[in-house]
Amino acid sequence: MTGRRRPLSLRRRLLLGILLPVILLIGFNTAALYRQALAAVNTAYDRTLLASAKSIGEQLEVNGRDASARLHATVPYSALEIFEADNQTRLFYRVSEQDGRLVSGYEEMPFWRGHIPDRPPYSALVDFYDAEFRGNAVRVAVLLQLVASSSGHAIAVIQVAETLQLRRSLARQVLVETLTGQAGLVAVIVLVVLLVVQGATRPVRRLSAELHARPEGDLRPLAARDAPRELLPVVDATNQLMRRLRHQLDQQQRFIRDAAHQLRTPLAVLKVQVQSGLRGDVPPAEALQEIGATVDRATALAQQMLSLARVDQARHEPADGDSRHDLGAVARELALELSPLIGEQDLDFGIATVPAPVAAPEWMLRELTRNLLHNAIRHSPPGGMLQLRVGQDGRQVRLTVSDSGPGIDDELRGRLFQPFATGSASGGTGLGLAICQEIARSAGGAIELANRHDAAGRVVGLDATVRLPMAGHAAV
Amino acid sequence: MRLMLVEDDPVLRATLARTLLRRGFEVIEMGDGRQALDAWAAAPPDLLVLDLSLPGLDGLEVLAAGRRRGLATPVLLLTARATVGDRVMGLNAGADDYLAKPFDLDELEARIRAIARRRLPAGSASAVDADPGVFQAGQLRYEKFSGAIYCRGEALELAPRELALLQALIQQPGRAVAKERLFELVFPGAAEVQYEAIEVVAYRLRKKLAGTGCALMTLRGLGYLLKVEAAG
Repeated sequence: MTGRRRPLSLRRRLLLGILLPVILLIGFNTAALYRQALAAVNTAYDRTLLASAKSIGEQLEVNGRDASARLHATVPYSALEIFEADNQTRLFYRVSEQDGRLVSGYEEMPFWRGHIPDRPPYSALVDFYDAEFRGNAVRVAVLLQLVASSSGHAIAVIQVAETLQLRRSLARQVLVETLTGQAGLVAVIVLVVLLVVQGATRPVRRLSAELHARPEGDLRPLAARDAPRELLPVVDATNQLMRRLRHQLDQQQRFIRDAAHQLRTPLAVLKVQVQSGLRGDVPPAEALQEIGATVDRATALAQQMLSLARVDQARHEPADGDSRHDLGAVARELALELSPLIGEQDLDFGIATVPAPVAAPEWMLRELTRNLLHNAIRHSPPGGMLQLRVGQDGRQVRLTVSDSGPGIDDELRGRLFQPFATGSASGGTGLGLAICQEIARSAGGAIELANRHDAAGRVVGLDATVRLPMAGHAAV
Repeated sequence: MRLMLVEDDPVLRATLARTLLRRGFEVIEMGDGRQALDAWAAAPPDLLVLDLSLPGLDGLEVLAAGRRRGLATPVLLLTARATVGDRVMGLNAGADDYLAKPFDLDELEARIRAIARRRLPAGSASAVDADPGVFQAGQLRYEKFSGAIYCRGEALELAPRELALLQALIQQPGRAVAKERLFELVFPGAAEVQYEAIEVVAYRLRKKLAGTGCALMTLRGLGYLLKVEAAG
């Protein structure tokens, strides 16, 4: 029960729903921008690096003839200084012959052993690569330059390396600028979303605050005049619920009042009986017998009240899974249980049942049958007829209890199912039919009482019929 | 037999104790859950009659705590709440039986004796009556051990099937017995079930019951009932 996570608040859900995609999008965008800026910076600086390689190449000469031609360098180290973009960046160079022999420059710079890639925008004799030199990360430009004189020619491999400080600081600057811009954008979006969401959910919060602040038992309808249109159904539904609660509360209060009154009656009787016993109006044994009977009546009343409460409670709780019972079997059991009463009254009793599965708890079916059967026994004259039938037509299950009592008059018919409508005048608790109706309703059925007439039109008894939906199709 | 009666309502407790005492039980009275648990553990009685709603510890807690301490004393629960849920809870907690208030004193005594018969060794339960084995209805008297039925002291002349039917009915006079059950008793081992066959037996028995103060009543479709006629 406690492990269940609380659902996200509306505000949080809106914020997450809007901000998460926006931030993701901006993140991707920033990454792409940064990569582009970095590529542009690299291209620009590579060009400068290549220019420095070319300027070195222009200062090379060749001595000797054809195959024995030798390269000769006249490069001053300072020549490169003009290419150093700032005083952090260091340039290093190495001029070699094609076989790797050093002509000029830094000997410890590793000779280039690549092949010339076929890539624009540089001529086919240029390459760039990243390497490390003297503990620094460097970018190296390689230029293969043909150096020729009137007598011979040779190919010079010119490598110029540049440390990366400037490129890096430039890249960092680009990154910071991009991020700052995007962060500003996110901040603006967050602010706007917060404001809008806050504003949109204000009526909801105000509504819940109003409900929270209500004193117990305040079931007046909600005003909520300024509620947005989307919220009106909730307000309406809440008000409807309030009305139903009000109604139910009124009913319960009436029930409690009636119940207290009904309980007072046997107590009053008891008091009189005790006093008359004490005064010696009747022999003690007889007085105690009477008292016992009154106690039984009060007990039955209390029992019925509990039953009604249980049915009421069960109606508001989901039914458990395997509550499927045969109303026919229940009717037979109850007839056996109540057989002493049938015997006492010498009733002409008959029962006919078929299997009739109903999706309802067994105690409910027992309570229903018990009350109807009890009523019928109580209202039948000694020696009268009492019939119990359970039938079904495939969709509905039908329980009919026919007695030979006086039936019901029209005046009573309207309020027969209300608690205490009949009251103790009939010898019952006045709750039996209310219980039956509650049970029939909770099982999705209905109950109906109808007088039975003879040929002359006289009432000869009452038929109480309960119809309930049949459960499933398999026989129970 | 020593009973411990744990009930917080003093009037009900005193009345119950008085009655149980008169019916031959030795009764220890307790009104508080915690004290009852201590007394139970200190000197286990033969049977515990335990009310559910108690001050201190409630009945279920007393029962659960007692069972945790390994106290195996049979327990009969009393309660004003009588829903199926409470019943199941009580039996799950280790009660032997369950009685809803208000109850009849006879019912209480019968339940106590039933538990004692089930749970206590035969010798230790001196106050526990054996099944009486004698049933009385009108002028009829049925002695279970001999199987005979007498009317005013004279054995009733009955055919075996009629005797079987009457034996079944006289054990709960005034209350109907289902025809399915009667059929098993009157026609034991009969392969083909024809409930109508009982009607013939019942018809003959009905005539023989004339003047015994008892009458055989038919509940059509349900079974039969032995009705004790009003005296006179």
